[in-house]
Parts: sequence; structure tokens; C-alpha cells
Amino acid sequence: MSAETPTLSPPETPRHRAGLTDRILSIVGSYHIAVVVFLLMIVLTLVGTFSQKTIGLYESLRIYFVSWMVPREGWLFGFIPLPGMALVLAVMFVNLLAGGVLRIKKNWRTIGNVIAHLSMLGLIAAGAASLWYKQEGHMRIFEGESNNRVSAFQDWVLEVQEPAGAEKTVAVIRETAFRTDSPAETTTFHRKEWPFELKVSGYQRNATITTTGDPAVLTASDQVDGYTLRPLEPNAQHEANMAGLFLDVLDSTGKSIARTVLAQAIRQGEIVTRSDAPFSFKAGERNFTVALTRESWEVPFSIHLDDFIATYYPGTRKAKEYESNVTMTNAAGKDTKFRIWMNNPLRDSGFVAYQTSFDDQSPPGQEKYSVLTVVKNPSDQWPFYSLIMATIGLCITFLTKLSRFIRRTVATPTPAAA
Amino acid sequence: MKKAPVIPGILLALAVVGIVLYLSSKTRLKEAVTPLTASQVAPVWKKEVIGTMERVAKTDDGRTKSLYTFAHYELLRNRALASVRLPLEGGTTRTLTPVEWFLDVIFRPETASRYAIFNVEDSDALLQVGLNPHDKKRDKYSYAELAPAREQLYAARTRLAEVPAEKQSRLDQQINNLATNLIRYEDLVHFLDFARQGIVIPENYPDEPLKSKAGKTIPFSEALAAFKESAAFKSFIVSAKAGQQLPPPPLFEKIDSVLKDTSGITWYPPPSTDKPDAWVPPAGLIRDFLTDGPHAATSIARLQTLENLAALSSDPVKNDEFQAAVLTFGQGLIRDAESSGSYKKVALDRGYLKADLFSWAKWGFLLLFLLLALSWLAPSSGWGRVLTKLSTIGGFVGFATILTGILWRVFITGWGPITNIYETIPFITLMAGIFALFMELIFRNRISLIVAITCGAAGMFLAGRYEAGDAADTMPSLVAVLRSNYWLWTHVTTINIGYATVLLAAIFSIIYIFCRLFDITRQNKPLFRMLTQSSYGILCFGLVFSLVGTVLGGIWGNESWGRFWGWDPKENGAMVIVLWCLAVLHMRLAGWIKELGLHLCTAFGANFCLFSWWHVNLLNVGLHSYGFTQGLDQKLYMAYALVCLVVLLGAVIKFLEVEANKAEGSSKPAPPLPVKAPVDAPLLSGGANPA
Repeated sequence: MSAETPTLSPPETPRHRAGLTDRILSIVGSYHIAVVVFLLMIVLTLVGTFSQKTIGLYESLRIYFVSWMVPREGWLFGFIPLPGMALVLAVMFVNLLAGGVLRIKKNWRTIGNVIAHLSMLGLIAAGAASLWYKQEGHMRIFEGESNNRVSAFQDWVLEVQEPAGAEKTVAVIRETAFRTDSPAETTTFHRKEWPFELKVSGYQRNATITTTGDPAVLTASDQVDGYTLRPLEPNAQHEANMAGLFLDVLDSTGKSIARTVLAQAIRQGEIVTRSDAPFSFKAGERNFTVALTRESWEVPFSIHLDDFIATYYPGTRKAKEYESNVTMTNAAGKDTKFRIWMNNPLRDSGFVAYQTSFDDQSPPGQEKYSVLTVVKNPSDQWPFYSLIMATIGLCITFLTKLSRFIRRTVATPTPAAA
Repeated sequence: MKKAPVIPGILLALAVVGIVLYLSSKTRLKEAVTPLTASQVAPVWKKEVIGTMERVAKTDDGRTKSLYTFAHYELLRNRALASVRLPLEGGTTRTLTPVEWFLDVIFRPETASRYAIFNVEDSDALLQVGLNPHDKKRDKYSYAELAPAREQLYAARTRLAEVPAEKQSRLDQQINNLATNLIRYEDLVHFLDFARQGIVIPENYPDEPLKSKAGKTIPFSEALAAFKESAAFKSFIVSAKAGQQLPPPPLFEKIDSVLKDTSGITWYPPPSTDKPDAWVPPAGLIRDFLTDGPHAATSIARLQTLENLAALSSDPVKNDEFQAAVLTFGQGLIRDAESSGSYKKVALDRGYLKADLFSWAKWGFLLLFLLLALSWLAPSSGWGRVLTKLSTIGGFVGFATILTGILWRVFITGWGPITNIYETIPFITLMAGIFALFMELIFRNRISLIVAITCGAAGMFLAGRYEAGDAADTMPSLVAVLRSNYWLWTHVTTINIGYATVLLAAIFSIIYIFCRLFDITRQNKPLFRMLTQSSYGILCFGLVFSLVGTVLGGIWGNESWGRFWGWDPKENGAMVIVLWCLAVLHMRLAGWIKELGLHLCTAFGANFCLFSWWHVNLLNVGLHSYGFTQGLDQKLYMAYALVCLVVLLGAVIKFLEVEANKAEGSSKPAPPLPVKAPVDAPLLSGGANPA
């Protein structure tokens, strides 16, 4: 018993190897940092969760969960600055690596902890990988038709094309790049192969194009040919927001050579129509178009929706099951049949396709369609491996502790009975 | 034998019993005293009739259940209690079971309209719709009393449909609920009207054989059969198939209005095994008859049976004949359901509600609690030991009862033990109880036993309250994403074991804080060591389950929604529990907290558990929409406040001790603090640290 007298063997003492590395590790990997990280994560998670009630998931992600520093609008009680979850997780990663993996005393009693710590590193890495490399979009397929294009469902992009050029799409500028906090701010974009610059101003998260005479527009500070933007209250469901902006095409001297107002929705009187028609302009001798649209891209396979079946609970409109029976044609032209339904996605050549939504209530004459979420995520299965590691690690730790505890309780008469 | 903490034990026991009695008294309010005369009460239903009708099956929201289950929840929603007590002249009462009430409503609506079955929480709600309420603020009203205000109630309901739930006042919600209940009640009252009233043949009806009955009222079934054969109907169908629009044939509107009434009871089973979904209400019989659907062959005979029942029910002299007819009717429905192969679990479904295991467990645990409290008066006496043994065995029996209830449900639904919020309550109770009993087996000092029994009583009490508050079938059909036994049995159970253990650890810590408060520090060090070890050990266990459960949830999300983690409220809630457990364990290692600190933190952890278990469901955002619930905000904030109060009390202890140390000065040795383990000593070290 003497060797295991708890007072003599604290579980995780630093090794007595007083090198510089060791000292750095002991600071970077200290318990204090770990605790602060946990507490900060709790605060961020709680604030971010409650914020979803008012600002929606997308904004909450932007402000709290994928940011390095929480922007001003998300400060605690309005005056306490917070680090963003990305920063906190990065610190946690370093702290965990230094304290929980490198510095921790390694013996048969701590092996479980080391494994559990490693699995957490795996989870954080999986999160980072999917944040940076995950590609995700919607693919809508009508019954009896095929599709190989996936479109993003959240962010708008400015898509610049040169119809006559060899590579049709010249550039895609994401909303995160031209989004501004106030319509008064501007952002300018330039690529070295462009004979022009693009200046975005008057950005609105949710807006329609309207005439300057529209009484709902209080300050038509900016306008193009009698058209301006009518700002709308941003929707908590970000995918329902339709961004609007003014676009100036500038030449090399900074002079405006073309100007337009872009938005998804155009209001004429009481009628609102959707349009993402591109704006054409001429720079030098070359013709370009620019459109405010959803980003979309091709995937190296096509999916044919052979059959879509939705089953409802009898007497209700509550879907019991819905499934897409598809034929997938890969780049080599090989056909494979799949059934995609809830909890059972299609996994093939690095892509995963999930049954997400459907419409089988279309008016007669229109086909029913199925919506798949198509994801390419390098870290798709990492959480699963991490889970196995974490379970093994924690079980080892817990079971060794428990067995030791029970053995002692049984072996030593408790002072209670003495 | 050590001295048991007698006085705190008794105080605790009295407090709990008092709270339980108070709360349960709230659910059993006195009746409105307007006794019914003999003529106002329907004749008593015969036992065999009720027994048979209770077993009749119906489908509802995709589930085949017993009529008993249906009537039970209808009554529970209207009345907040699943039985009707009728005050009679002469001071006696008569109690109606759900199906007795249901049969009265559909067959004797006049009589049933005088039963006080609508619970009104606040009589001001009635003032708002222009009624004169009873004197009592909360009381039960009959349909006859509310009917004069039905138009106002429905208008209010239409108006409130535009108002978001969080902006409705309590009174608004009550009016809304009352109006909804009234609509559902009227559906029950009226769905057999066609059988009671028959149909009037218009004077100018053109076709035989009904032409000769023009101006007369004839049974609906007779009119329907003749209508289908009429030339006008046949040519109408032919033209409709050709895409032409002819004016509807005579009688069409009357038949159509009955046909469109889908509110009737779907108690007619599918006529054959190959169409398991073809359950229909009476209106479905009419549709099938006209469209040659699955039930066409039996439609007219079945409608005639209903008409016969309606005719007999209105004649008090023929009561025996009527009851015999109802019996035959019920037996016929059961026989047909059995032969259609869709009756399998209906008897089991009725049995589950009738057995009411969770209520039995609740009262059993309360009794055990009293036994155990008695045993504390003389712990080491012979009686004390017998009582302790009895309560231990009783504890096991109690949790075995809960387990039986849960497995019974699993067998009925065919899905894992937890598919909705209600089911989390018995499951978490069971898990907390099992862990506490396990602790009792290790320590054998009755603390864990009382924790287990308290958990059992409190959990079953909560389950009952939630069921009564929600007043909806606790086994509804599942949305598509949940239809996966693999994930229901892995993720959902794991995460709920996590909740149970973290809550249990908090309970042990709260006991610790109270014991410190009563200053039994000096007398009973082993007790403190035991509480610390229990709390710490269970917290570690909670960490394992919460972590594994949370990651499993992520993996499920990656299989169903296309992402492992989406910062969805329910996911966040689970993660916060994991983070808090980790924070507490690492705070101890970092030397931020010692024994008392550990308990304060563990006790505070209950808040995160409540947040994840209940609060995120109230936010109404995110992908876990199938778990959303409402109306619990106030209770939840009270629970948070209670936990915070206990933690604050604990902090006061710390403050007082520091002050006491100062006052005594440095000349005297510091008062012995309980088991002040060195910062990084493993707490789970058993008795290895004798003073």
C-alpha cells in the first residue's frame, strides 16, 4: 500500500528534468490555463446558445463560434470582451498537447488519461479541418432527372465571369469578404488579371431593389438610374436573407466606368420578383459580367433520382420515412445504385450525400423533387475514431480507479465501523 | 456503530413529505358543488361493456392504441385528472373511468354536457369571454356552462393564432387551451350526429327509390345506399372523370358534410392484412362506400350498427338492450382488428396505462422514505436495522417497477427507452437510483439509500406532473430522423445516463453542504469522506457518459444532417455538462478548489444539467425540434435559483470558518476540517487516509 499512498504520489507531477522546454511546457500546459479554457468555453457556449433565439444560428456562429475574437456586438453584457471559440479551442489544443500529452507523467495509471487527451486533440483537429476544408451544399434533383451541381445555401457570392474567356468564371468573392457592418463602408476588390477594380458599397444583409420614390426608403443616399435599396429587417434564418449592394467598376485610375445596384429581390410597386441576372460591363476591350448569386460548383459525379418515396403516418402529414433511390454515375462513367434515407447517407469517393428535404406536394404537371446535402469533409470519420479512443481512455482511467477504490474499501476496515 | 445524523434526517424527511403532500394536494382540488339529480346522470355502464370498449383499438397520429388510452388523455387534457367524479344528490359521488365518460359523451351527449370536466385554472379567463365564473379561482366547468361563450372562445382562439406563443399572457394561453379542448369535445359529441339525426330527403328529389320518401327523415345509411345507385350520382361521377363540372346531385352536400368530418374515432380496422394503414372513422366508411375503397363491402352494415346504437341510446327503457348492443359492437371491432393483424399491442397498451406502474412506484418510494426516516430515530436498534433492510429491499423493488414500466413501453413502441422528453424522466430516475443503490452497497450507511429513494419519489412525481401538464399520449409516433433504434439505444441512453449521474453527484454534494451547515463536521468525519468520494466518483462517471454521449450525438448528426457539430442548442447543452465536469476535475488538480469547493462546484453542476435537459428545449431554435416544449420557464428558473442558493449557503460556511479561525487566533490549533486531502491526492482512495 505504501507505494500508492496518495499523499506520496500525486497523479500528474512534472518530470524533474529542469530544461527550458520543460519549463515552457509546464507553463503552456498548466492546469490553470486548462480551467480558464473550460470556463471560457462554457461562457461562450451559453451566450452563443441563448443568442440563437434572437439572431439565429448563422450570426451566432459568426460572432461566437468561428471567430478568433468576439466582435463588439457580442460582448458579454455589452462591455466584457470575449475571445472567440476558435481562439479558445486553439489555446486548448496547445494546452492539451503540452500538459495532457507531452508533460503528463506516463505510467499504467495515467495511460487512460493520455489516450483520452489525445482523442480530444483529434476532435479539435477534426473541427478545424472541417471549418477550413469542408465543402457543403444542396443538390436538388427532380424525379427522373440528373444533377451534378451543388449550390451553397447560406452565403451570397459575387461571381465575375468573362463569357468570351477560356475560363468562364474569373472569380468568386464570398459574402464574408464584402460584408460590412455599416452601409457607409466600402470594400474594393482587385485581381491582377482584371483590367478593373470592383468597389462594393451600401451593403445590406437583407434588402430589395426599389425605386427611389418608394416611401419605405427613408434616406436614399445612393441610387443608380432611379433605383436604390430598401433595407429589410435581417431574418434570423440566414438562408432567408437576400443581400443587396451597390457595385462600382473602377478603371486603373480609380474612375467609375460602370455602376449598378445588385440584389436578389426587385420590388415594383407591391410586386417582388426574384432575379439574379448578371450585370454586364466592358473594361478595355473585354466584356465581363458580375452577378450576386449563390455559389455553386460541380461535383465529379452525377446523381440521377430514379424514384422518390415519402411515407406518412396514416391519417397525418407527419412523414414516417422518406427516401431517394438514386443512380450515381462517377467520373469513370460507372453506375451504382443507392438508397438514401434519414440516418443513412450515401458515401462514395470522398463525398457524402444526405437526404435533407423533399417536395412531393407540387401541383400536377410538376415533378416531385428531393434535396440532398452533399458534403466533402476530410475529417468526416475523425470524430468516430476520437470517440473510440476517448471511450477506451476514460474507461481505463475510471475502471482502474474504481477497482483500486473498491479493493481498498473492502481490504481496509473503514473508520466508520471501527 | 457510528451515530447517525438524527435531527437533520427527520427534518429532511418532514420537509420532503410536506412538499410532496402539498404538491399532490394541488392536483386534487375539490369539485364544484352542484350535485346532479338522478335524472341528470346516465345509467351505470356494465363492467363487461366497459372492459370490452376499453380494449377497442383506434389509430391516432400513426399509432394504434386502445380506446382507453385515447379517452384517458382526452380527459386528462380537459380536466387535469383522468377520471370524472360526479357529485350526486344526497352528498354521494360517482366516479367515471375515462371510457365510461367517453361512452356517455358519444352516446348520451345531453347528459355528459352536465359533467364538470373542463378545468379552468383562472376564473378571470371566463370573465374575458363574458361568462360568470364560479367563486373559486380554479374550478371545473361543464360543457353546458361553457357553451354560451363558445363563439367568443373560438374568436379569441383565432385571434391568438396570430400571436407568437411567448407574447401570450397566461390568461391568453388558458383561453386558447380551453377553446381547443372545447373544439375537441364537440368533435366527440357530434361525430355520431349523422346516425342520430338521419337525413331529410328534399321535396323535389328526382330519383327512385328515395323519390317516394321525399320530405321524410330516413336513416343516413339508407339514403347513402340509394344515393350511390341514383342516376344523378352516376352521371356526376362519369362527368367528373371526364374532367367536366356538373352541378352536384341532390343530397350531395349533406353527405359530403358528413364525409368530410375526419374528427371521428378511427376505430374501424383495415378489412385485410395487406392494407395495414386503412383504419378509418365513420366518415371513412362513407368515402370508401362511394369510391369503392377497402371498406366499401362492410360500410352500410357498419353504419346501420351505429344508427341502431344511437336509436337505443336515446331510449332509457331499453338500457339493457343498448348496453348489450354496445358490447356486441365492441367485440366485433376487436375481432375485426385481430383478424386484420393490427391489434397486436393494443391490449398491452391498455394494460400499461391501467397498471400505472410509475404512480405505484411514486407512492411506494414515499412510504419507504417514511420507513427510513423512522429507522433513523434508532439506527442501531433491532427495529432500526429491520426498517433499513426493508427499505433497501423496497428500493430495489421500486426501481425494478420503474424498469418494468420502461421495458413495457419499449415493448409497445418497439423503439429505445427514450424517444421524447417524458421518457427521459423515468429513465434518468432509474439510472440515478441504480447508481445510488450501488453506492449504498459499497458504503452501507443509509445516506445513499435515502438519496436513491428520494430520487425515485421525486422522479416519479415529476413524471406524473409532466404527463398531466402535457396531457398528450406519451408514446407518439416518431419523426423520420429518430426512427433508428441503433442511435436511440446508444446516444440517447448514454447522454441521459450522463444527466442522471451529474445530477446524482450534485445531490450528494448538496447533502454534504447541508451536513456542514448543521455542523456535524466534528462528529462524523467518515460521513464526509463518504460523501466526497461518492460525489467525486459519480462526477467522473458522469463525465465519461456525458462525453461519450455527446460525441455519439455528433456522430449521429454526421449521419443524419451532414455535420458532426453545428452548435445547435441541444448539442451545446450536452457539451456544457462535459466542460463543467472537466473544469471541476481540473480545478481540483490546479489547486483552485479543495473538498468544500469540489462540492460547491458539483452542486452547481446541477444547473448545467437542468439547462441541457430542459432549458434548451424551451428555446425553440435548432434542429432538435422534436424535443421542443414550453411553459416550464418559471419552474426552471426556480430550480436554478434553489441550486444557487445551496451553493451560496456553502460559500457562507467557508466564510464563517475563515472568520472563526481569525477569531480564535493563531495560538489555538485550527478547528479540524473534514478530510482535507492534499490538493492532488486522488479522492477515490478509500480509507487510505486515516487521520
